[in-house]
Amino acid sequence: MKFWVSRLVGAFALILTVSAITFGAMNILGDPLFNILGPTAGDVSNPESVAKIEAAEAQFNLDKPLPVRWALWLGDFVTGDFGVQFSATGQPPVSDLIAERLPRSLMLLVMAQTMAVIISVPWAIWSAAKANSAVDRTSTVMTFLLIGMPTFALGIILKYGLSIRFDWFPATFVANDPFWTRAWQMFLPALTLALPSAAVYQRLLRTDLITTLQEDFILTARSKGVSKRNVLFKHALRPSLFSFITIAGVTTGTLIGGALVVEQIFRIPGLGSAIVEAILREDFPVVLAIVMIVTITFVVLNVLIDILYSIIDPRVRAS
Amino acid sequence: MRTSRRGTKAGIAALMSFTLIAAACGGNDDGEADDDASATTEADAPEESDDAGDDATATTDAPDESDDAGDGDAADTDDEDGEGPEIDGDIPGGDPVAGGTLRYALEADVDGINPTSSALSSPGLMMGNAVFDTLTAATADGDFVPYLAESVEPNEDFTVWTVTLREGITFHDGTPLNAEAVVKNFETQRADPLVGLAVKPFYPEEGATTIVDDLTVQFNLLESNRYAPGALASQLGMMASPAWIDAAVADPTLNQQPVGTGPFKFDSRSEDSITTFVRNDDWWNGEVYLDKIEFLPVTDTASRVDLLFERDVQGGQYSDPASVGDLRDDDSIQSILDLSGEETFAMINTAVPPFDDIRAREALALATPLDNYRNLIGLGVAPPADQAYTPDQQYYNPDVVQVGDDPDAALALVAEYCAERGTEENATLGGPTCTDGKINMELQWSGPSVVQTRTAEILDEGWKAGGFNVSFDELPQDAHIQQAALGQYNVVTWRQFGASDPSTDNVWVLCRSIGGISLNWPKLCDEERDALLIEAQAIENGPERVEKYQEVVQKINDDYIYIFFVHTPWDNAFAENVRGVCDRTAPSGEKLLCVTNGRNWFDSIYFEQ
Repeated sequence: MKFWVSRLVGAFALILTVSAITFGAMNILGDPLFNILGPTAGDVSNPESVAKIEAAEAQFNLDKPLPVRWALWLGDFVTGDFGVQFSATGQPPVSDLIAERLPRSLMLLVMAQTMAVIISVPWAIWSAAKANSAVDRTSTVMTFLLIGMPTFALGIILKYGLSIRFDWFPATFVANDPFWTRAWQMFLPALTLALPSAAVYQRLLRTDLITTLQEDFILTARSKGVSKRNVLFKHALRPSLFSFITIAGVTTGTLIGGALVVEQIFRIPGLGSAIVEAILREDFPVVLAIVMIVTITFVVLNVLIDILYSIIDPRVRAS
Repeated sequence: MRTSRRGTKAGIAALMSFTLIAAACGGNDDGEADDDASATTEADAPEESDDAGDDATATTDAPDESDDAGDGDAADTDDEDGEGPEIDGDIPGGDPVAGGTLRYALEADVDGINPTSSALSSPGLMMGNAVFDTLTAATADGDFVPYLAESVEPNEDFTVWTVTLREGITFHDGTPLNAEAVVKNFETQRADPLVGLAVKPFYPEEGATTIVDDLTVQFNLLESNRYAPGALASQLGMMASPAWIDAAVADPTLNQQPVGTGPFKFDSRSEDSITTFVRNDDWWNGEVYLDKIEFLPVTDTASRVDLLFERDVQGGQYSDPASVGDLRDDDSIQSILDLSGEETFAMINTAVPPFDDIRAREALALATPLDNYRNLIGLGVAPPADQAYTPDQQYYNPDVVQVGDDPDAALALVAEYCAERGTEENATLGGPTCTDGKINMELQWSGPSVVQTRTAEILDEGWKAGGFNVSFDELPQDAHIQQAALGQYNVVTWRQFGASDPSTDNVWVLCRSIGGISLNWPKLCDEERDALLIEAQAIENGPERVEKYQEVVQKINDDYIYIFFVHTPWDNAFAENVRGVCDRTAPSGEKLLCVTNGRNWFDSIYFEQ
């Protein structure tokens, strides 16, 4: 119980800290009035403009001290009110933007993570079964290549090779196409995210599998005549998944970061493009909302992984 | 499958683009700001009627009694303005067939499609062309004819223009187009902090418009202007539903859902991804053929070209020379090239140090690596520019040749400036104007944009050699425009001018456009230049008018406020089965202009079966 309480307190503190840093950074670095009022925000010699500036400052709490603004924002945020976008052509709710963009980013992440698992598990088992053979060594080189290659470079290579040159995949994403068409349009972006993750998973799972395969219980199973295939899938795989799950959780954070980049390359208007645009426009509420969503997702995932640990290995729960 | 050389370029460009940490939001290809003014050119369209010019003339109903009204068309620019759009490829007319969805790639998305409050750049005007109609329209000959208007008539001294609307036109929401709607559009534009800047300088504060009857409005100008109808053929002439304008004032998010009288009705919009318009079956000017248009903003120029090559889109707008060259070289693409429109240049803020001193401006011009820019960015596709007119345009001043590529001469001027004024503050950078004998300056551009970043690097190399310390500032396009309007910059790269009649470009240079928020972006007032411009807009086109504009060109060159690089090569490119792009006609039958400054219209487009 104490363990779970400390985990939750830690998670809460992390979320608060991230929100405070992000809020402070965005408010110190820029002037959101330009986004709300357009050029009027800089027209301080004109009394009419000054009146508009003051009205906007009052409306959006920009005339209050930073900690007060943070507290006000946080109070709204926990009640599900993300505020409004700072835009010269209207202030639509941030939640509208999130509602439109989040599903696309989630879809990309889910597809990428699914692909990474589908690719990495059989690949790791295959490599472990042929440990230190020529195929395993080739496989190792491939994994290092994929891990070492930056996401943006891989994305560009895949896009150029498979989409532009060979035309096997669509080159762009269109938001109002039917669901399955959009899923197909997301295949290549998801693969871009999945391949480096798959390589990492493969490395870890392969190593753990090789270690497990040297355990006594495996030898016992083999000596009882259990086939090599059954040993691998039924006896060795489960105890080898511990590191795999850990890294899958940690990698989700990397995937979210990578998704910001991949969305740009493949023209997917998800949270990635939204946050890049919002940072450039100093649209603070959007930046804050997305950062918080990413942070909370990351924290929740890690808590879930902790729970998963305890299911896979009851010794974690006991300790 | 395509294996042309452009594929390699696409890869390289994409790699380069990534150094910008992800091409994101609405910066355009060239990343440059785009003027809103009407800018039209004479089109050498096929099947052009020999007497189109005369017909166009008749439709404006200019007073015959005016001796100097020429052939009777007050809006007639007698467009000897040289080269119009060049059509590369086959875009024949034929028997139009209804149906199909045109996917069209834009160079950027916009933050609103409201002609009364959005500063519409080329992509915004393009979407506006689908949903809005204008009071007047430019003909293929470079004249302006009534469009939503039945007639546009001046008084004797061209200070009052009377616009009479066609009967029975309604907006997509059922609101009638009448005189009140025109005035509502006008007044809302005038009240907007940015759009209003293009209106206010030319109208009195009180009595700018007079409603004569339900369909007739008088526009009362401050000065005589024979060419005023030209301004009603672009954003300022786009008519939006007054009910929607009111609703959008109350809830500005409605700026994303335009309501006009145009050939297409707004359907849906997902920002940064797709905006859809569907056919208006009740369009007042005839049948519309396409079922639907889908606009896709694709900021990365190489991707935009590839989408067209792969037919993921069937049309697109392009302005960077590399793309234009590739499109032009491809036989399967129909390109409508327009080299006579906007200019690409660097613009200098003369209101604050260091460039309030002409020596600093001249030094910057001298240090500018024009040859490098024209070779590496222009690629031989974009014609070099020394002024706002091409050599085959009548207003071109052959005596004006810009200085440049002379860093040694620049160094001497920089030394002189720094010795005298080097300790003053550069407000934009927040430090002294000079450090170690070099002028500190900031170059701002709109991005993310590969072309603009390369441009900045090329300019930096030359300017550095000429005695300048250059800081970079890349901003989203709207922030870039805002800062320019507020004079919060030293030097920006820009795209502007190119109106078929130069009077439409007056707003960018008149003294009265200078204020807290300025459209005279360099903030340089020259009363003599103003006098020339005002005189020139009042007189008939001819040698006297040409002389005045040539004098203006000389003055601008002497003031070192713009450093012209190239004439922007605009290409509206289409797949081979797209037809009818240049088949637009006015209600009176005149052939209308089909492209201008990267924008085309959609009402006459159809797919070949």
